[in-house]
Amino acid sequence: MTTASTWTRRAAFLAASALIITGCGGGGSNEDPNASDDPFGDPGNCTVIETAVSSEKIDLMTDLAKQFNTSDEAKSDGGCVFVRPYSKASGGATTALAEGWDESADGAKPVIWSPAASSWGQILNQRLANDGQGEMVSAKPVSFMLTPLVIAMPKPMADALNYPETPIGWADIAELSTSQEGWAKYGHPEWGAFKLGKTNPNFSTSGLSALISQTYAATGKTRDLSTEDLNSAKVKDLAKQIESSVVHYGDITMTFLNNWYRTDRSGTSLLYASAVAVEEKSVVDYNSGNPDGVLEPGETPRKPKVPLVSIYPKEGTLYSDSPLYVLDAEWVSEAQRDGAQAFIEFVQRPEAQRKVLDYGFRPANPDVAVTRPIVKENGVDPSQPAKLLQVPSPPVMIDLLDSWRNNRKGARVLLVLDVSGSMEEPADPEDPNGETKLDLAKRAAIEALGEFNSTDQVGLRVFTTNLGPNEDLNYLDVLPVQPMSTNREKLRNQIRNQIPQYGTPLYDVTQSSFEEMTNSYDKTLINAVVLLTDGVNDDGDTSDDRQQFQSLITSLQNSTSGENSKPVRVFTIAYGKSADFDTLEDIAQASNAAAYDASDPASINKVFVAVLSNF
Amino acid sequence: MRERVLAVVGALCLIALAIVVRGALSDKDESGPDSDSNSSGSDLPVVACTEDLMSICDQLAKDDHIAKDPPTLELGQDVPDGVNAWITWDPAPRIAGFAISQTNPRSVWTHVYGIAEAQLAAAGTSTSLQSACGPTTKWKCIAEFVADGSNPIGLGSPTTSEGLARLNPVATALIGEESDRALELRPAIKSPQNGQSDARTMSRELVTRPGAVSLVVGPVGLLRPDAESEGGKNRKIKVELPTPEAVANVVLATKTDNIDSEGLCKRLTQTHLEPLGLRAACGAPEIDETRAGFLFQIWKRFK
Repeated sequence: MTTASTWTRRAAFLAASALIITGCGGGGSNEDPNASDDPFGDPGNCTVIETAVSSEKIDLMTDLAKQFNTSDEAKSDGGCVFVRPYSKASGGATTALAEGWDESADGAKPVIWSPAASSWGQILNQRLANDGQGEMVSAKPVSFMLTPLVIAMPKPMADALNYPETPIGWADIAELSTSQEGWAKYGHPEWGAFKLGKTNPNFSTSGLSALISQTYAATGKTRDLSTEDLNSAKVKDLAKQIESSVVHYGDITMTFLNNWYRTDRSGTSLLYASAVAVEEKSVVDYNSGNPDGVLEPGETPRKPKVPLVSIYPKEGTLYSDSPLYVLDAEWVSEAQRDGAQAFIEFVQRPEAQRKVLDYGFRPANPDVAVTRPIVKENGVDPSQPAKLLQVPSPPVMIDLLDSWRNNRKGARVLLVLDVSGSMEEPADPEDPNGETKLDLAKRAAIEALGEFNSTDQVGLRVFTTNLGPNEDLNYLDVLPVQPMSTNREKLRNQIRNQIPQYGTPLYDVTQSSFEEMTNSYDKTLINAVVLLTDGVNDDGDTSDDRQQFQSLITSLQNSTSGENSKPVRVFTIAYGKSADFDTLEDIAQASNAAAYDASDPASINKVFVAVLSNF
Repeated sequence: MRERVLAVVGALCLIALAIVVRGALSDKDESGPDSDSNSSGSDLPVVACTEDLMSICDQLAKDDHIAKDPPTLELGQDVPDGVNAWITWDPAPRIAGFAISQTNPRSVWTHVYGIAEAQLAAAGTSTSLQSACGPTTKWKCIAEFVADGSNPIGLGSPTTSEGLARLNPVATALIGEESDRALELRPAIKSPQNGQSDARTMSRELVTRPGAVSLVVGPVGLLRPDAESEGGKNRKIKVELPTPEAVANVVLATKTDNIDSEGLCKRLTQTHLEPLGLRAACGAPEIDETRAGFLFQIWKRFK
């Protein structure tokens, strides 16, 4: 299974992505001498169709592209077509296309783009229009496959709410979110308060769809959402109510599903989250014992003890429709356009559409029936949803994303930055005179501060050994946790001032940072520690390392369990090749947060933004 | 020997006839931009199609019966220079004429020839069809079922030729001949959250996207294959022929009478028509001025 770090993707407003394959974006032959290293093989003289797809379907598209490339359909008029998919987050691709695709940061320029939902295509066209540019994607694209947005809920909780006999919608979620009694109202005080998981709508399709759905629910409408609606008191009130119960946000739903799955083993999954807005496909994957939908070699699916139930919101929902856009861009040649069309026709065939089912999606071709695994015993209902919502107009969606920033749950975050001696090493070993790891990390942290609202509270702690006037401290509180309205500029300056020093007292600083945030816990906010380190624990005394680590993990786990828990999430960033990712992952998971992999220091910008998408 | 001579003569006659027919299809008038002259440089007529019927134009062009690269043409669009004929749904040519006659008392499409037809049907899950009409499906009960917009229906867009032909029976059942009540159709027309599309798209949505539409109106030959597909059977999609019978016609509209409409129509085969749910029906269509005027008023309200 893949950790959140593996899935880390860039934000909607910055360029980057985990590019699996790079290659020539132009048509015609690919003369790249490294082409033979490509897992797809050498395209030779074929017309290359670079295909940017959202991460949830990369395995499926890779599979289909390989089949297509060796098929007769890929041959035409003595030439051939070579489709090469790579993973690109929908929000990131939207921004890259709107702002001018930078191949060095964004990967090869795509000929075909398949985001998770066509709402991203509408946002792209709107952003281009705002800049006086023409549309890049069709308003009525071919839909490759489908999956509706649902509210995933552990079965005992859905049973307590008498679902599906009693329909549930976003209005009910809002009521649960603000209930003083929490689950006690339904006879289960042991489950504590209602806790919701939702991804950040700037990054994630399910987050965007959930935001649209909850907004419609507040208006009582199912279509024609307007900017005036967004400014109405009832929309703002319902948004505040729902957001108040959010555990944390994030760029991908897998963080929630992995945490749910892990806590399922210890029997505490009901305490981590009561509901998470996800795509129906994720419920199928989770209940099959494969929460992130990726089975690594040697991995065997194991069904969870507590399965999830898909709640199809009574107010209506949206489909993620996996559109296939052939981009109307200057870099797309006529030959590529024809080749792309051939591939699009290929993936709509019944043989290809049967594979869609294998991945938990619904086929878009009527010739393939929605059958297993989309069946009730997997917690989903193929006859649902009963009602759909209209995707708002692009200008309204842009306004909606802006308003979410004001309505989302606030954050209270302690940034903990490693300033140990190893941070002085060059970020690029092949450029010894270039920037140091600390230089890059400082710049990324300063840039990422823009993701915080002025009401969010943020502080800065740096750690290394031999700090303080007596050189006996392991960390220093450079700035206390205070509202960004007063701290933003100070934080920038203080981060800028940091210099590399001595050892890496990782366990000590993590323990103390966690305890401090727990002691000052504010239940109305997302309480978190963001810890960046490039090394392993090194406080000068290895004899107690094991004990320190165990103690830390135990206290993190204890704080997240129980009805009176004060969950402080510790999001960790493993920075550089020497960082101890496994340990950092253990720390993050013990607090039901996520670990992020920035083993390539050049990726630190996008990783920082991904981490801050949790707030 | 006599048979051989007759065969040769017969072959020569056929060649001569082909030349004559081909000549008849070509446009000889090159007197101005409104003429029937084609801009393709060939002798073949330039024929436009509505987007949903484009496969007909493409096939005719491929078979060298009309000029290559046939353009698309829809109601409300300016007719491109050089276009000699238009394959569309009745009564779009007449509506185009009404629209033009308001500013210019000259109708573009002077001749209309029927080339295909489709009986209109209603598809839906057995539950929705039952809820709408019970055991007997009539346009009237379908219209009442979808009137307030709460039961989304793939009815056809009132701004397209295909859409007007499809929504005709429901519109008639709902507002009779009173075109001034056209806006009463708005809730039904706006009911699908993804908007109205052609019958093929809506039929696929009915099968593949629960919640998208409850019912779809379209050619029976187009709706049935989807209903009988694996997905359609799984979703229990049924196709009913509501009463009174409703037929939509596909026509070839020309600017002058020197296009061999009948000859062109006879070149249409099952391969061209079947995928669109159409059946060949060459001949002059019955002109219903009242119906054309009624649909013109609807088109004008929504365009």
